Amino acid sequence: MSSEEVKKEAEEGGKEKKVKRRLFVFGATSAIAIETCRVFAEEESEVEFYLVARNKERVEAVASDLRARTEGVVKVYIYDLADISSHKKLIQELFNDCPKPTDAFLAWGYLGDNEAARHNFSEAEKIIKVNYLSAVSLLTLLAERFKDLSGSAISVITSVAGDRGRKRIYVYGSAKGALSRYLQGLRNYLFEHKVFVIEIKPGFVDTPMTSGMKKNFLFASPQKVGRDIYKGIAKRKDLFYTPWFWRFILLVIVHIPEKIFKRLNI
Amino acid sequence: MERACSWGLVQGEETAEVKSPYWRDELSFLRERKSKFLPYGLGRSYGDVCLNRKGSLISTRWLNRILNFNPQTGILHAESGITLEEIINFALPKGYFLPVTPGTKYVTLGGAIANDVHGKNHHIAGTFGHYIKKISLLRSDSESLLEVSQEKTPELFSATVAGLGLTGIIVDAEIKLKPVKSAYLEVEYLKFFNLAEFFEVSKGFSEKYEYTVAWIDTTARGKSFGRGIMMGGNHTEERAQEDKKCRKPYFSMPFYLPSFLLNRYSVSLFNFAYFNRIRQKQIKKIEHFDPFFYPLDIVGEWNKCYGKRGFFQFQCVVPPKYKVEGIKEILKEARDSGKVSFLSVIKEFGSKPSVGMLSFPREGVTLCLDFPNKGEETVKLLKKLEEVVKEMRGALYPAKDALMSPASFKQFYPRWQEFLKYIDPFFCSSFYYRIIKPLSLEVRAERSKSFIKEERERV
Repeated sequence: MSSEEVKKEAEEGGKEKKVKRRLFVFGATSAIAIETCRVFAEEESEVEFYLVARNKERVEAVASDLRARTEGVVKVYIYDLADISSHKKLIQELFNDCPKPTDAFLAWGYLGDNEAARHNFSEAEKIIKVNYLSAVSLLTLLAERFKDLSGSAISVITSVAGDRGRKRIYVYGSAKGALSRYLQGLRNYLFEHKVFVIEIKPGFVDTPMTSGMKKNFLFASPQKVGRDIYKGIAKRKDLFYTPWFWRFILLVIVHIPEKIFKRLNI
Repeated sequence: MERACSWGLVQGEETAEVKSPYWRDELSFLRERKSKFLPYGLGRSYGDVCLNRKGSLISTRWLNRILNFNPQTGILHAESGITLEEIINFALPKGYFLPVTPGTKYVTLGGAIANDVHGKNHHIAGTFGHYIKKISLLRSDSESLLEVSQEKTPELFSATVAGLGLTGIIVDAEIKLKPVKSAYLEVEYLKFFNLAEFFEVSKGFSEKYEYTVAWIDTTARGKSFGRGIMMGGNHTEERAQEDKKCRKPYFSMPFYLPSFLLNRYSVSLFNFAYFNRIRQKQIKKIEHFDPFFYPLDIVGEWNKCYGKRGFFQFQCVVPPKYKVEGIKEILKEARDSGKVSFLSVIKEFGSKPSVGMLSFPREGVTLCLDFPNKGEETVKLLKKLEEVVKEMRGALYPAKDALMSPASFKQFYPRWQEFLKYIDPFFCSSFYYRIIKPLSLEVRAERSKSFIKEERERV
């Protein structure tokens, strides 16, 4: 089956209103995850949400909001996704409640303090652990289960920061960059199982994660990003930037010769 | 220091900081009592009720979750940062609409309660506050959220509705929405050629239509003085499957228009064209709710049309006894001063008493005028108009006001002294410092005087 045929079959399967969307959301209290879920609830009539996050009160607030918006079921699981030892139990619990999910969406992350991480390995370790290691751990378990679910998709938020290392954010960037590389391989592996691996690369987004940064015109609202992510996941794209213009910004950035780039202050 | 603006743009004020809690549990800083706060929604109030130059702001923009919706009763329980636009987009496909809506949908639920907003259906439905079943209020002196309602805590409820954000932060609220079948209304536009005709036409429209308002040409003279276009609408059952979402603005004002463009001549021309754009005397049609309720939302940031100097909004209500002479005098003063207003509307309020201690709507006629800020002369005119309103025993609307005096406020809002008791000591606003604090100092001075007098007599 060609890539287009696989895509078409999966798209039609995912898009039909009769086929309910069953969505595992990891990091369900993240601003981008919340907005994305809201768009799913608005655009598709009966979405089932399986929300995973570590703060009970907060994820319950997200669940209430989604329950009002969708006719599907909304369930909540309290797990710290940075705790790798709990992943096996989490996946078991999820698949007990929902043996045939259509989508998994990995939306947690930790921006960290790059300045501190430069001098202090424990901060760098935390950034790498939360953004890369814990994601790989979960993806290993998910891939094993999802490979039997033809037409399903695993979507992961990485970052434009992963496209090229720059002094302001290279530790976080390296973790997200490593995750990008992993996802490429996973996509390649899961293709023969007709399972999609979708990589989402947001630029600057106005969320609590970036609350320490001064906002400018490049910052997108989480609502805009949520809408873009919904479209990307529904269409089963391999990789996309949100908003779209970051694709071109990064195209330029990755092609700047190192001799010049190392002198820049961006 | 951050800069916050209100819609009129006349006052851009510095504020100590703007906190933007993403979750309700992040509001615990209130209890630390380190600063004085004011909740801030979308900043659509025109004057200084949403500014806090001596304190900090709490932006509620992230607190916009729906906590519960009952599709049988239409009661929506949501966090206070949810906007009216978001409520409509959620509820209209489910067959519900706002029971009362102001002229813009870019207002938060908290802001709508704090100003006890009113709409084109006031003559039947009263104000927004009537449809609020419950408010969760967080104060600096409360351990946990206070449940405020008309049944359980009538005074605190009455202080919080139209409370201008001074009684604490409204964290979430329950509102009873009203069932509708369609996103469309049957509307009628009817021209009237002078002020006397407005009052005749308005009476007829109020009996026929749930929603009524009139645009009035403030530059017309002589026989045409007070001419305008009356608008009336009722929800219809037609086109019930179509278009149940709010529309986005066609475009957003990219820059501030140079202020000289808005002058006596250009506005007269605009008014003439606007009045004559409808050739027939009367038009009836089916219209989508968005352009009917929110005509100005078509242009994003339309306040920039008034230039960098901004503009003043003047909204008054004049009691039925003085309605004809009151409105006539205000319009005459405005016209004779050479200061022109083109977004002028007039409407008759109904007699349903408002819920809040500081609620603006009361029986009579309300007139709303915009004046580009041309400096001292504009301020002088507005002060004159304030005097006229005082003479007529009317009132001005705090949500629009930037200039009224404490003495006027005292007269307009006889329950002001009762309201003082419910102000949270760690909440304040620029409006509070301009109007309410001087009055509360007056009260304290009176009390001290009478106490000293009593002591002297005793001795």
